[in-house]
Amino acid sequence: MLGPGNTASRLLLQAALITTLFFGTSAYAADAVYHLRKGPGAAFPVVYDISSSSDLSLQSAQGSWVRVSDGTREGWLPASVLQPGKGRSAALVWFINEASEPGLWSLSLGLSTDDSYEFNLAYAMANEVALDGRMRRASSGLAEWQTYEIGASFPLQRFSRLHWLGYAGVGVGSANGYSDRWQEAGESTSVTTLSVSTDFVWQLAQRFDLRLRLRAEQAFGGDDKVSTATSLIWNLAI
Amino acid sequence: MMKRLALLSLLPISAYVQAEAVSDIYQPDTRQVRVSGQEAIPVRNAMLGIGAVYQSQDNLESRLGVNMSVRWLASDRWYVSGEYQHAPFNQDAVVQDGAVVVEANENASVLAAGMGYAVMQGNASFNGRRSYPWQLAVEMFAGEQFTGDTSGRYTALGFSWQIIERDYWVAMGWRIYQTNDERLSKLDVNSGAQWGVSFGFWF
Repeated sequence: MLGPGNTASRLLLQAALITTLFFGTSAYAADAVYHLRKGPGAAFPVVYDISSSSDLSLQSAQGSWVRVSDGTREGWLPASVLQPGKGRSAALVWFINEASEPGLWSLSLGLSTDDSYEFNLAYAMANEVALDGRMRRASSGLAEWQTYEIGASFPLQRFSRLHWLGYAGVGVGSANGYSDRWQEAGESTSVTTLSVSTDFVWQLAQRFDLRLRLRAEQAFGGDDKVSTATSLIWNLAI
Repeated sequence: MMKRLALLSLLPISAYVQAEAVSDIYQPDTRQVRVSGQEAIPVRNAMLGIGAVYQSQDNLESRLGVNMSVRWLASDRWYVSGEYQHAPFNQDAVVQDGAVVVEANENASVLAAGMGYAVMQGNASFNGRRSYPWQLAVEMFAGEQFTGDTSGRYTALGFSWQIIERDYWVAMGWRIYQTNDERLSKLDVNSGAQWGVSFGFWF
């Protein structure tokens, strides 16, 4: 017990605590323990505990996990906990953590009420505008038609996980003689298309969103038809 | 009390000194996606494989087919997939109102793309000495099924259980599928279920 007369001792104890708080914690952070897992995911069991100051070389990467080895033992770590050290440069650690995030490309597939399926490939540019390539195709029995479009999509409004996007594009389309897509069935048709659409986007995960797309298309050629469709779209950032 | 306050006043000074000590801040200005090419780290980009599928087609006899697939890994859990599948569709001709609607020995080919998400990941051991990582993924596909001279939109939903070795993988899958080919729809032979086994390697 420290009595009232031991103020100097109490101050020394407090100084030691403060020193431990800063320098002790710092020392611990510099020599943390890495829990190496059996596979690239938190669900895999921990197989080894290795000091972060060990000479660890990077063996491979999968998503945001890296496989490391100290020569005799190996396992998987989340790339986010990896610090520069022996066998791994600061540039490499930065690269794995920052540059392997979801890229600028996204790939979508969808199903429409006009019996078509579609694939989209989008490339994000400045100001959240994306260059969008879209392919749609429908076939049922002998009838078939397809369109190929290029356009731009842009954000209209954002509400947390919900987005509202707009799109405008031009393209070409063709239908065989069994299809009445752009004119009465009987002969093959080729058209030029102008289309606009709006997407209601529900961001379900960092890389994945689900979209409800409302679309209108004006065809030039055939009977110059206007068509509308609603689509359900799965979009994955790659 | 004054001494104590003086000592506590060192606290922000200590923090300041500590922040100054961390001077090795790396701030590059050029980025490239993916790790390949950076200090020669091998990366698993995709799974390529072949397999056998057994299809239980509604109102027709079951049949065995082959499947080729590729899964491109977008993250730990998400992947984009593409596949080609070929199987015999029927043996005997189907006649309706005196007309042959489906000829004998037609074949069905499916070309589809989709995506998958690993909902579960774990580790399995058969003998207690060696264990294998596995994952269970939900998969969806959209594409086209070509049957004889006609075709229709193909959609499928299922799951795939994948055992992941370092250089190869084995997967077992199950799915339900449907095509909107109106020729098949009229005969009610446009949907079914299939299961299959496939294996392949990483690249």
